[in-house]
Amino acid sequence: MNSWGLALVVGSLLATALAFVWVAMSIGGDKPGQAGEAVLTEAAKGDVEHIFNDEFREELRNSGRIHFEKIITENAMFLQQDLRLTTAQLNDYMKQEISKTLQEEFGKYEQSISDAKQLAIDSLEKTRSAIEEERQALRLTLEKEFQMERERLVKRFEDNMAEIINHYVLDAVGNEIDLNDQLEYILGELQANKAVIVEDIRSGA
Amino acid sequence: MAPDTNNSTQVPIKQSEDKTLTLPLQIISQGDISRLTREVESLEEFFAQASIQAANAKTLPQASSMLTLINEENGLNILQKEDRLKIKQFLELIHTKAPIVHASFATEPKPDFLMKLTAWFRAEAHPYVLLETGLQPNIAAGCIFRTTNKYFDFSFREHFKASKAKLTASMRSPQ
Repeated sequence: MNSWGLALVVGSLLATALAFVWVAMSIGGDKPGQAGEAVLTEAAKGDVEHIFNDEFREELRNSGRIHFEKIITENAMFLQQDLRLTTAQLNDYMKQEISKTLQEEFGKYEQSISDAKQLAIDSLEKTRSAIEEERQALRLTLEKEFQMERERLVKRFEDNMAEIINHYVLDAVGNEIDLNDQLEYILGELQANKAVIVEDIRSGA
Repeated sequence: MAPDTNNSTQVPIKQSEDKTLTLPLQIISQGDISRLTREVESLEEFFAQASIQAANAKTLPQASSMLTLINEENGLNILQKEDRLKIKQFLELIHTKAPIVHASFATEPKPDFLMKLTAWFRAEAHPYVLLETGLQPNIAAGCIFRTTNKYFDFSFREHFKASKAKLTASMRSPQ
């Protein structure tokens, strides 16, 4: 739009210049004869000098200058308006384009972020699932091992319980157990097995 | 406490073979019988020598407490040859034919404790039962008896084994 305005101004100036040239040539182009032509020429020159004297020329010059300035001013104003309009449109266009591009880029960025986030979440979820499975498997294995070890210890303890308790009693109160305190227990056991004992002693005696 | 059989070479003795003499409870083991037998033999020898060397009669040896007990419980007099002979025969009979019960304890039993056990055996089983004692510290408490053909474990260890189910139950549900 800017170049069009400039071209319009230049075109106007060229048209004005061509108009002056055409007027000058049309005035100087009518020659009835060589002599007459010269006379006419001189007369024309005189008329021209008479008509287009310095004042008139100055007026024309001033008028042309004013007209030219007016045209220039108008065109400059148009150009300014066009420029403003163009700038505004360009700004709007740039805003739209930038906004659109930014929105697209932000959309892509958000999508990328979302994809990366989802990927990370999936990865974390898989890792968490794998860890959970490993933990469950380890827990089961450990529980099984603990159970087996506990059962083994319990079985071993139960198998040797009498020896263990006997050893404990021996260590704990072995030196404090008086045989006289056990007499009642021993006599009770003897009495309980009296029949077998007596029979064996008498059969052997 | 299921009795186990063992091999013993004890010669049977009939309870009715010698009812005239009683065996004091203080005489417990075969060692006591052997010591008494040697004492009676030395006494016999002393009296034999005394009869030969009447002029140089020595002082009568002091009788042991066990020999004194036999004399007192049976109304005998060691100064009499017949009584000495009777005691000697009695001791030989006991030594060869009395039933022997082997008892094992965690600690060395005191004489009065052994006397009480001996009293039970002589009252319930046979009047001439002899008790041989031994030590088994690993039984903790109680005792183990071994008669001619059987084995009786009255130790706490065996008691614990017999009460294993009760022990297990009490440990599984402690109060």
